[in-house]
Amino acid sequence: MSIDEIKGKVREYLAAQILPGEDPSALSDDRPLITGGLMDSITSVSLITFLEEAYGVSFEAHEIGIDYLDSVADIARTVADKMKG
Amino acid sequence: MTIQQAFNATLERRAGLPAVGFADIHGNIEWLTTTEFHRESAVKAAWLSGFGLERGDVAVLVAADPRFAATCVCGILQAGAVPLLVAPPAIQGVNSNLEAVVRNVVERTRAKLVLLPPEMKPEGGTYGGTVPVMGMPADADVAEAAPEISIVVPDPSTTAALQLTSGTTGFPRICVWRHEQVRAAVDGMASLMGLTEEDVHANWTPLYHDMGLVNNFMLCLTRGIPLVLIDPLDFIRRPVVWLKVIHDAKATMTWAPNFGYAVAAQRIREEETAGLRLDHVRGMWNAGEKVHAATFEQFHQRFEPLGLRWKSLKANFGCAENVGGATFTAMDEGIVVERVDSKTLFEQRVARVVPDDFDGPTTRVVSTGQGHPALTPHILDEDGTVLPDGSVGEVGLESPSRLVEFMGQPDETANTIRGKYLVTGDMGYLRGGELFWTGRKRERINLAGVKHDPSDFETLLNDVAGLRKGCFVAFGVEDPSIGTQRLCLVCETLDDPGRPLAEICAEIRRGVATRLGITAGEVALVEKGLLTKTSSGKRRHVHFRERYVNGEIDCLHRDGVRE
Repeated sequence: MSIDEIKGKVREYLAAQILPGEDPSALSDDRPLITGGLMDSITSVSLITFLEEAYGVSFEAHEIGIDYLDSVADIARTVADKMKG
Repeated sequence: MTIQQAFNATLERRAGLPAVGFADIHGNIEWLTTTEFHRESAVKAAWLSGFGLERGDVAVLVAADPRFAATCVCGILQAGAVPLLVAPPAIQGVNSNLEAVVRNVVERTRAKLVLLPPEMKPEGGTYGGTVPVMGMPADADVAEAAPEISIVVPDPSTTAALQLTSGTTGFPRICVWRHEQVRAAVDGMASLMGLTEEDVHANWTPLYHDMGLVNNFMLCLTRGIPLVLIDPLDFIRRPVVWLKVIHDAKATMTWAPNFGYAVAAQRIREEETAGLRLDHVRGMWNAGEKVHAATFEQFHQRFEPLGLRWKSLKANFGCAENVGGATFTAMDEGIVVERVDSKTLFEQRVARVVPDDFDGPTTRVVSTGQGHPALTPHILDEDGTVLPDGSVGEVGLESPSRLVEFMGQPDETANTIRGKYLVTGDMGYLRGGELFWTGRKRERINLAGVKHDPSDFETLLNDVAGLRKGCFVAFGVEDPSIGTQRLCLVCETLDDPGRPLAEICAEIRRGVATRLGITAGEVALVEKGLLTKTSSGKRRHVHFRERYVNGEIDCLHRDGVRE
């Protein structure tokens, strides 16, 4: 699965579950999600649950953070790295 | 009796019986007997004593892991010392204000130790130059410490624990709890809830919150009631873990803020609950924030097929200033909900129950129950006079468990302890002994059970270019879809902000997220001069919340608004 495919699926999830009403295409790769105040601890954890189920990867507690989840690009890169093992 | 004496009593009575269980994200429980739990805690006590912790010293603890936090708190108490827990950041890299809060708390309490997660360890290895700082201990260090259980029993008149509660200066207030107050709180709760050693508690609320610390940890550990601890993040990641633990441990009591019930009702899938039963549950307590009847109705409808009884759903009113719970839904009853006339409620401060065919605006108010046997709630007017049933006023508690003081803040203490009353700052009314909570006297934003004062936002808003300094209001707006409040910030701009308004909103959001570790639900910018203050220069958060919610404020720019 390519990075762009992961980004597309993450955008769809965010628009449907975390930012209802948001146009997925308006979620640019680098739009800050946590530091931009769009995601909080609860929605970040919900996102992780989705990623774990959708991609068969697992996250450690310290990865619930801005280094890994603060933008669509960060999320996709993190998932892709985990899928590579 | 001190907490430590109660520990000794349970060690004698229940040495080999289950005391504390730790659940993993799948709900698998590792049970420790009373002896095993105290032995693991004794290792922490010995480890901390090696850093100089002695009887009466304050130890500040910032820890996310429930097992580490629970055994450290118990170890600190075993050493005869005084624990104070501070909320750790749930998201790594955010809440840069936390270090300032910890430094402030350490300085004010003259703490002997502060235990921090490794990522918070400051350069130089000290906090304020005098307090030793440790990260989490390595397993090898813990294993080398002496595991003998030795419980130091302090004088009953001394401080048992310290607890943070939101303050009005950007830093929290520190509640001082003595042993007699903790004991009174625990006894009152146990009496009203009819607790016996046949009960089992399941808890995912964090130990830094008084719901986790007093209503679960201290209550269970001092009375010999088995307690299962679930990591709060595991509950958010996999909410069904809560119900699985209740089923597997045959838990009869559990506590959560309202949003937890909303999360469970909305996110637990039907196939995840196969085989789970909730028939045995006596109390699912909803506390720490506004109780929404609709949330309980949704939760009950969702899990009634598992045997959940409506009467098992309970409401509670409590606060850190009272050490623990104050009023409780009766054990043989369900919650009481009144539908009252909104106009008389808000304009005349009278809660008038309306008939079914009443066609004016109404408000549903949930009773938080009656005071426990040693506590009497009252409703007070501005002069401290007791008001009759149905009149809305400030909740005052005649309580044996009220705090001793806010440490180092005599004026705050005097405002809170007035004569025989603990004045809570909460508004409500009584009817037939039932306390109905209607709101806060001063604005206090409650996000998933965690309270914030509007002043928390002042420093960061002052740093945002384009805003008029000090001219803002901050409030919480109930959002039934998430079962808790959303934070709303309304700020005045300069005549010429000098930058795009959307950019200002983005900076505010970024500041709230990174400096305080929370999310701004809505940010609105308004013209200079709109947010008028009182004649004494105070911001009017409650007043402008009502106007904002009613759509009476003209905004230059808004974002994050949910229609």
